[in-house]
Amino acid sequence: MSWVKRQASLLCWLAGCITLVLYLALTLPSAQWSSSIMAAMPGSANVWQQQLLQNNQSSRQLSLVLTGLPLETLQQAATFIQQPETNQLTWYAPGTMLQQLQQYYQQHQALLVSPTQLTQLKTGQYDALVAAAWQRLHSPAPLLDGALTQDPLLLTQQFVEQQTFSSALQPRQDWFESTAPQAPTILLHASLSIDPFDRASAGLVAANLEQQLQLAQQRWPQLNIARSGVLFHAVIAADNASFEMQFYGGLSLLAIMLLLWFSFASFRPLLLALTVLVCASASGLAALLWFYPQPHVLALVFATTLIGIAIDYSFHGMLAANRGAGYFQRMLPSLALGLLTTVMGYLLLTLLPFTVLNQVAVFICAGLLAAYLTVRLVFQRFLPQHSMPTQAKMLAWCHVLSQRYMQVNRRAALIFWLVASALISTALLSQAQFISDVRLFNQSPPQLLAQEQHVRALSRQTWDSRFIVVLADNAEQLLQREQQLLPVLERWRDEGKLRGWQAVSQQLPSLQQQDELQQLLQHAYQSAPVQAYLAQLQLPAPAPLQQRAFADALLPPMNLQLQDLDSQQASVILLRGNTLSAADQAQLAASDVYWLDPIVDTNRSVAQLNAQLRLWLGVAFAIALLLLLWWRGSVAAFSIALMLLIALGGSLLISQLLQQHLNIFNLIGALLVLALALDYGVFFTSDLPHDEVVQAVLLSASTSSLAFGLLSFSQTPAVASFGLTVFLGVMLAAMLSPLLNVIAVQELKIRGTV
Amino acid sequence: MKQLALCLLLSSALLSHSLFACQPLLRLQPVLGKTAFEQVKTIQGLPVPIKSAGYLDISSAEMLWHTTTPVDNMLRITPAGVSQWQQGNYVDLAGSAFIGQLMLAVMRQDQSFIQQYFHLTATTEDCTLLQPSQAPLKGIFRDIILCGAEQLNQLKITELNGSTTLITLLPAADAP
Repeated sequence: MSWVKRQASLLCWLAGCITLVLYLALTLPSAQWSSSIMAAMPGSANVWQQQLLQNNQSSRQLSLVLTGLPLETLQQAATFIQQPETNQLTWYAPGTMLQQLQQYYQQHQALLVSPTQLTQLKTGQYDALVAAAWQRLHSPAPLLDGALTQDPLLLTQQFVEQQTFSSALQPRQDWFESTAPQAPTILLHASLSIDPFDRASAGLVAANLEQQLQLAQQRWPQLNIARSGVLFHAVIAADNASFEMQFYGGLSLLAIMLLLWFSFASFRPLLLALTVLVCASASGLAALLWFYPQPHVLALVFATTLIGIAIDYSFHGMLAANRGAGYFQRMLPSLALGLLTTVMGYLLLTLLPFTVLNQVAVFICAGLLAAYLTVRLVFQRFLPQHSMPTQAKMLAWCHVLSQRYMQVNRRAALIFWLVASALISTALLSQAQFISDVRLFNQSPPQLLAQEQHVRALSRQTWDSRFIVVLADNAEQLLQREQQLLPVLERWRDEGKLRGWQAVSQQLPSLQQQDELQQLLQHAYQSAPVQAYLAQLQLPAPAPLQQRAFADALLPPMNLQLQDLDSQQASVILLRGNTLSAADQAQLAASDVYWLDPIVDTNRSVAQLNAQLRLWLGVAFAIALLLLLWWRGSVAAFSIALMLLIALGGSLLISQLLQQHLNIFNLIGALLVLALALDYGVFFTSDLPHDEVVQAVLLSASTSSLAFGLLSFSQTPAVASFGLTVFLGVMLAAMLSPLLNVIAVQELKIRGTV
Repeated sequence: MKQLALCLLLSSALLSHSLFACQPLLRLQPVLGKTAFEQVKTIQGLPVPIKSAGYLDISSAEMLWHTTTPVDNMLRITPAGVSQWQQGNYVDLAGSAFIGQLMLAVMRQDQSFIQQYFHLTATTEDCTLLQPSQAPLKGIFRDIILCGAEQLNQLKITELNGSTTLITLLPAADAP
C-alpha cells in the first residue's frame, strides 16, 4: 500500500473512531438498558400469556419472619424494620386489610352465600337454614353490622365464617403473630412496586432493606430474621454473576497483559491489543445502541466473548506486522476469511427468537469488523518490521513445537481424526442430554433456601406454580365461566387430587348469581319456617336488594387475580396441593380455559431455543465449510471440518460428562468455540510459516483458555457451563489445529497444488 | 413541723396511689371446670333480645360453650379460634381466633393478655371496665365489663355498633 494510501486509510480509521466516540458520548448517557432477567428469557408465543405473566404480582411479594426474642421485643424490632417508608416497598397492614374485608362483607350482605347454603335455598331446605341462623344468633361472637335487617338468615355472616385461612399466625395491625408463647414469632409481609428481576431498581431496594435489617440485627443481636421472596434470590444471583464476570474478567485481562508482556517485553503490543479491543467494543456498543432502543445488559455480558476473538486478530496482526509488509499482506486474506466465516455464523443468530442472542450477534459482528479494520489499517503503521522484540525462549519453544507437529505422520493423524470425530459424534448423539429447566440456571445460597422453606412452612400460604386461567370479554362472563368450573374443582378436591383453590368468584359472585340469590331469598322469606323465624325476631322480610357487588369492589390481594389484557379479561384460579394428571387437566378442555405453568412454559421455550441453537450450529458449520471449500479447497475444508467436529463435539461431550447434562449456555459457548476454532483452522491451512501461526494461536488459545477456564469455576451454573465448554473447545482446537498443516497443506504440496 | 407533716401526707398519698396503680385491677379467680351460663344478646336492629342458656366446660387448653336452650349448639374455643360442632365434626369459624383468645383470657383471668389489649378501669367495687387498646379488638368492641366478688360471675360485652351481650355465670351446682 503506498504511503498516501496508508495515510488516507489511517485518517479514515481515525475519523471513524472519533465518530464512534462522539456517537457514544451522545447516546450512552441517555441509553435505556433493560436489566430484567425474565424479559431476557424466551417467552410464550401467546401474547395474552406474556401479558399475564408480566402482570403477575406473586414475584413482587416478600416476607420476613422474626424470632429469637420475647414478643414485646419482636414487636419493637418489627416496628423498627418497617420504619423507613419507600415508594418501592409497601408493608402490608393485616389489621387494616381485615377492617376493609369486614367492610366489604358488611356492604355486600345478602349478596354472598356459601355453595352449601345456595343449594339449600335452591332445594327449599328452609328448616336447615333457619336452624343454622338460630345457632349463629345464640353464639357469643359478634355479628356484622346490620346483619339482621339486610340478611336475617345470616347467610353472608356464615359465608364469612366458612372461609378457610390456613395460616398458623394471627393478624395484628401491622403484622402477623404466632399464638405459641414458647416460640414468639412475627411475620412481616410486603409488596414491591418494581420488578424484582430488574437488576437496577431491585438492587437498590434490596440494599436499603438489607441495611435496615443489619441495623436491627445490631440493635438486637439475638434477633433471627428469615427472608422469603423472589427479590432476595434475584438480587443475590445478579450480584454473584456481576461480581464473577468482573472478577474473572479483570483477572483474565490482567493475565492477558502479563502474557503479552512476557512474550514481547514491550508496551507496544499491549497498546495495540488494547486499541483493537477498545475499537471493537466501542463499535459493538454503538451498533447495539443504533439497532436496539433498549438493549439488555445480558447481551453485554455474553458479548464480552468478543474479547476472545478480537485478541486473536491482534495476535495475528502484530506478529505478521513484525515480520514485515509482505508477510502482513499474506496474513490479511486469512484474517478476512476468519472474519467472514464468523460474521456469517453470528448473523444467523439474529434469526433466533431470543432477543439477547440477537443483540449479541449485532455486537459481535460490528465489533469484529472494527477489530479487523483496526488491525488492517493501524498495525503496519505503528508496528514496523522487527520493531517488536519477541522473547527468544518463546520463539524457540514455538519452533520446537511446530517441528514436533510437522513430524507427525499425515496418514496416522488423518485416521485418528476420522476415528475420533466419528466416535465423538456418535457418543454425543447418543448421550447428549439437554435440560431446559430454568431453575437450574441459578443456584441460591443454601442458607437463603432454608430461610425460604422456613417462612413458607410458617405462613402456609403456598400456591402451586401451576394455575388455571379463564379468559372472557368481560368480568361477568369470567365469573360465570369460573362458576361452571366449580363442580370439577370440587370433585377433584373430594378425590384428593386438589387440596384447595382460590378463585375470584368465591368472593364475588356473578351478577347472574346475585340476581338469582335475591329471587331465592324472596321465595325463602315467603316460606313457613322463615316466616316463623322472622316473626319470633319481630323482623320484616327485607325487600330484594337493588345494589350489586362489582369487580371494582374487590380488595387486594384478590383483585390481582382479575386482570385486564389488551382485548379481553383474565382471571387466575390459584391452586394448592395439585396432583392432577394430564388426563385430569384435559377435563377442563374448553374454549378460554387454560392451564398455565410459567416454569414449564419457559422451559419449553428454552428447549425450543436449544433445538434452534443446535440447528444453528449445524447451519453455521455448513456455511463455514462452504466458504472454506470455495476459498481454501476441498482438502482444507474437509480437514478443518474434522478438526471442528472433534473440538466442538469433544467440548460438549466432556461438558456432558462433567455436568451430567448440557444446557443452552453450553451451546452458546459452542458458538465461540466454532468462531475461534475456525480462525485457527483458517490460519493453519494458509501458506504462512507454521511456527509463526503456532505462536499466534498459542497466544490466542492461552488467553482464551485462561479467561474462560476461570469462568468455569463460577457459582452461577449458567456462567460455569459457558466457561467450561469454551475452555475445553479452545484447548482441543489449539491442540489439533497445528496438525492441519500436516494433513491439508502438506497433502496439497504433495499433490503439487500449493 | 407542719411542713414535714404535709410532706409526709403528700408522700403517703402519692405512695398509696402508686401502690394502687401497680396492683392488678383483676382480682378474680379463674373460672375452671363446668359452669352454667345465661346469655342475653341485644342486637342492634333487632327489637327482641336473644336469650339462651347452657354450660361452659373450661380447662387449661380449651373451653366448650354448650348452648342447650333454646337451641343445641356446641362451640369449642381454643387459642387458635372458635370451631362449631356440625354433623359430627368441629368446623373452624374463620376469623374467630382473636375472639376465642379473648373469651379464654377473660374466663381464665389471663392478666398478661388482658393488660396487653385493654385499658382497665375500676367502675364499682366488684366490676372492672376493659376498653380495647389495640386492633383487632378495637375495631369490634367498645368495652367489656367484668363483675364478680371473688370469681367472675357476669360479663357484659358492648360492640361498637351498640349490640350487647350479657353473660351471667351461675354457680357450679346449676351446671348439668
